[in-house]
Amino acid sequence: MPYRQTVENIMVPVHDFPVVEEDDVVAEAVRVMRQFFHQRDGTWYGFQAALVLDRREHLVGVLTLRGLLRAFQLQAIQDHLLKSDATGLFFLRKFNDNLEIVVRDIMRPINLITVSVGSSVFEALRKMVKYKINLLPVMDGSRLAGMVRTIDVFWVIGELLD
Amino acid sequence: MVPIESYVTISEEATLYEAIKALQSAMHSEGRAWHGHRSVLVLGEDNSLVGILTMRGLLRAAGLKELEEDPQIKAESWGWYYVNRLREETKVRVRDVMRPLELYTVDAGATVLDVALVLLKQQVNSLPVMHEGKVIGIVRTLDVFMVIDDYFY
Repeated sequence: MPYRQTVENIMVPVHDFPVVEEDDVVAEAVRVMRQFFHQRDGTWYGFQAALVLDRREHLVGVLTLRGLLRAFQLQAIQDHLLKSDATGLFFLRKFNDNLEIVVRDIMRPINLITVSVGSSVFEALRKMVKYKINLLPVMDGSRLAGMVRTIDVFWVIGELLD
Repeated sequence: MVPIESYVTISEEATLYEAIKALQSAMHSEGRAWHGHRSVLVLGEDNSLVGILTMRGLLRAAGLKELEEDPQIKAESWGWYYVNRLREETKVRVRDVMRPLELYTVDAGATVLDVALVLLKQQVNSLPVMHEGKVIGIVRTLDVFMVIDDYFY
């Protein structure tokens, strides 16, 4: 029954994603994501996001390509402050001691917007449209089971139309 | 950026159903990873480029908002209504759900930083690239990612 399709059936399993640490600097995170994402014959393969772990190996967030864009934004603010009055930096807790932007600053926390394994595809669709996101964590209780992407949802809907 | 010629195009008069099929034909899957473009270009009457139709634009369409607010429709049957709507809605054309070309653009001479900031600010993942008043390509979040190493090390 396609209308009863749950996100569990279309999600990408959690172990298929690359993993980064929340204290990693941007360059390190990009390196890890890049390894999972490679070019062949002019097209790209791989997933456009990474899971973020804290020091105790707990899952704390998702780093998407949009998150990496945020690094540019933070860098721009930082450069601006350094060029003008450096005392402004004391008010920005975003930056660590050596002023490097780390994954924690740009990731999306894992528990913010999620669906559960039994949710329908349409439930996922609603959340994606409502919160303007393309990647939705799928939770099995408190454990992350996988992630569902806009493209997975789009595909199911296209099939339902036939 | 991606050259404009490599995109699939569709008429602004096309229906939502045709648009979804066109977008699906532009994508292929290999295993669980997808490739191909996630948007199609919309052509106007004289074959000029008038907009971009994205996957999000399509999903947002078909009266999603009204469905959400209609208390008569129970959560379980919501999906059924949504799909039926997409199939039967013949009045809604691509023109109504596309993103007009001129809305957000960047100049061919813009820096990567400029592009990143516009992508963030406008909450989009692709931007038309303009050169002397003409669209020459599309730049995406993905393209920024591919050169990001040059800025953070």
